[in-house]
Amino acid sequence: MTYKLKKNSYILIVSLLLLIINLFLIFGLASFERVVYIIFFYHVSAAWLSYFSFGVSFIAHLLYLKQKKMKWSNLGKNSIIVGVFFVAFTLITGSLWFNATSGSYNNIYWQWSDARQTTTLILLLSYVAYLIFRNFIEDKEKKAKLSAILGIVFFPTVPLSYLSAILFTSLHPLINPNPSEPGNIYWDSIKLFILFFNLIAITLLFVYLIRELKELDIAKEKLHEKLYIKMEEGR
Amino acid sequence: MSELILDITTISISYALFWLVIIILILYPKLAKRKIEKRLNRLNQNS
Repeated sequence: MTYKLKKNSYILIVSLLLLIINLFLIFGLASFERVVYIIFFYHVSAAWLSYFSFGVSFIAHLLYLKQKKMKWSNLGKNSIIVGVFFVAFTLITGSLWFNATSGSYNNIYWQWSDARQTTTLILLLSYVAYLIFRNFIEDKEKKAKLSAILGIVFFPTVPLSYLSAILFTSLHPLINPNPSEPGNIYWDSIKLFILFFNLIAITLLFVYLIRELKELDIAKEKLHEKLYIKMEEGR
Repeated sequence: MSELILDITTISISYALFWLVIIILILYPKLAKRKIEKRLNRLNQNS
């Protein structure tokens, strides 16, 4: 019996392989002042993926409002599901990093005055609210229209979260090619290469997840149709 | 505890969490789809 892998399975395998190779690259090529600096590869990658996911959802929601096609509404929702998980991970690792570096493990995980932390929390809560709100609406058309509006309204929290460390008071370090600038993290070309490698792996994972979630939506649609037919027959 | 051990603990928690997020996101559509397929099969058998 031959078992044929689907195209999507190949995307998953490549992405997972790249993520595993990345771990070897981190330990084999990069050198750090402290081991905890490794957190940055995952923190930055997850932050990138969440911003990217919310960007995709923003475009998808705009396209839904223009074309009224359900596939755009579903893409917007699915991107938000992926983004929410990764932004939560970003917040947790950011807090762990904060505890590790601000006075070396004094159990300080959160600083409300830090603009990056606070705006990212607002971003997470906004999109969690989106998912809850979307779940409450029964009518398909209404659900797609209202969630598209909400997806667009919430999107400014994404650039706000990104720019907060630059525009406002924040302890969040910035990756800077200039080692002499205080408060910034200097990353050489090897570390940047490893980071980009991780970004490619995680973006491939995003493609896989979106395709899988799309298949799930198709299955849900089939079930609803079947249930509707069954209900009509019962009348 | 020394700073090195705490650093290793922090990075291990983060790495485990990273894979946990990935595993949840991979398994969620697969399990949900399987559940729907089972329900569809049951509906087909009943009709």
